[in-house]
Amino acid sequence: MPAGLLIILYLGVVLLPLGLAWAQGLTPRSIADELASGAGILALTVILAEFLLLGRYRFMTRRLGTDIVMRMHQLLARGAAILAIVHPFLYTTRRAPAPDWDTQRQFFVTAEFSALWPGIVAWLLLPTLVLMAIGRTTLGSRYEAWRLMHGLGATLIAGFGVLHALRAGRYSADPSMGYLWLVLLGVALFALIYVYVLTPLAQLRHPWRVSSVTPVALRTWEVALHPARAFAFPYSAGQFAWLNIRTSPFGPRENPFSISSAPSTAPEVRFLIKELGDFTCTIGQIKPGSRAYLDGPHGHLTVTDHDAPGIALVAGGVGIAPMLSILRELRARGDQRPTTLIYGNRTEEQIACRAELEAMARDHGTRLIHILSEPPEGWQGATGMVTPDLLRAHFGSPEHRQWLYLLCGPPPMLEAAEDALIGLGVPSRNILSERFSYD
Amino acid sequence: MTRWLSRLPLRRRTALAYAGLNTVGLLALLAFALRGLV
Repeated sequence: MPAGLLIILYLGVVLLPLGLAWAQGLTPRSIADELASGAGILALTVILAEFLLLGRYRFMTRRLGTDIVMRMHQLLARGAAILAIVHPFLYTTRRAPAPDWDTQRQFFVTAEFSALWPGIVAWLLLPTLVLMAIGRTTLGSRYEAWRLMHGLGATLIAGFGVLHALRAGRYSADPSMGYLWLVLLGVALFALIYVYVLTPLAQLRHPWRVSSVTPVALRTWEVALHPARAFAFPYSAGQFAWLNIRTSPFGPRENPFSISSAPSTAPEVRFLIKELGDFTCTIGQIKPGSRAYLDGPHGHLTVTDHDAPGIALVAGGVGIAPMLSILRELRARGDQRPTTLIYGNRTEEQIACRAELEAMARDHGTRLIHILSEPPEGWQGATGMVTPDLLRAHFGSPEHRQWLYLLCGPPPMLEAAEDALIGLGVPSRNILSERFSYD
Repeated sequence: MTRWLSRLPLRRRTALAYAGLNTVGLLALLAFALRGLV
């Protein structure tokens, strides 16, 4: 689905309850009161729409990229939190139980506790959830525990928010508005059920087995999986999948990892995993034969649908995984287009699959540029970070402007590389990137 | 316009899309709140 259409669709969904409230034709109260109700309606709709921006629906991520979907999820939640926070303070109308004659809640804002408490709970939970998501890394919370808490918290906010709207809302008293809230809540919950129940249920029919766990660099492993039954897992080189290595596909213990194998080596699928914390620290202890489940493929960091005359790959650390997949696939297909890989690491021991990369450079003409920020004594390669000067040195000529650039690594490296490439005249549509993490 | 957009990094295009969504949302909210004036 085109990006513009997705944005228009999103706006249509988010503005629908506000439009329906307007269409009821109730006599407007003071501007502050209407602003308060409008802010509450808009905040609740944005919160419910957040369930669709989970980065797990391929019709969205395939076109926009997971990075954009997740960034929008974060930013829109912050906007909704601001609207929700100001919502109760904007009312100027007297708070009291509405008398029978005030059927349109024209002169009183409800003060009944049964109507207010769900709103108060959601009002307290929402900023807490947003702040905990922003400070997840700083707080040092375990990813799996945080994910579970985030999902439960979001469900409670959505549920209590809708309950509050139905019991206290002036516009939500109208049956059509009430049904709309229930439909939107249903869609939101279904989106969650799709990810956490239906997808794992489907995964039960497609179990995988770990066939090998191989160290490929310091604290970095390549995990190979084979289907436990005969089934296809079509993916493009450069994509990623959510991997769950345990006996059950249910629960929050799944992590996104880039696929490092080439699709042409199917049915085997490999992942490059660095020990970064949580589940990844135990990756070296996984025994061959262990059961695994995959949700994917996801991501748009692929050369599919791009017929650029050359391909440049810029990787930082374990960001090499999708690049390996792409290089392996290009070689397997006999693709003759020139390729350049700039691969940044902190130390020499962190260079993954070094022998294979050097064989690609030797046998297939891939230009391989290693760059280390903490080089050992006698290191002959580039040192420091991936800088604009380094990119200019390798991609500065006019013919490089038509190449396809694939970037994967830590956000600061991606931003610096993207700025530098645009500065060199590369159009942004020729630059695809994927982050490791979301703040 | 297209040429200008094609020279924007991803994070700026994302910020632009977010700013656009916010603007439309806030305008709709203001129109809703001020509808009694017209």
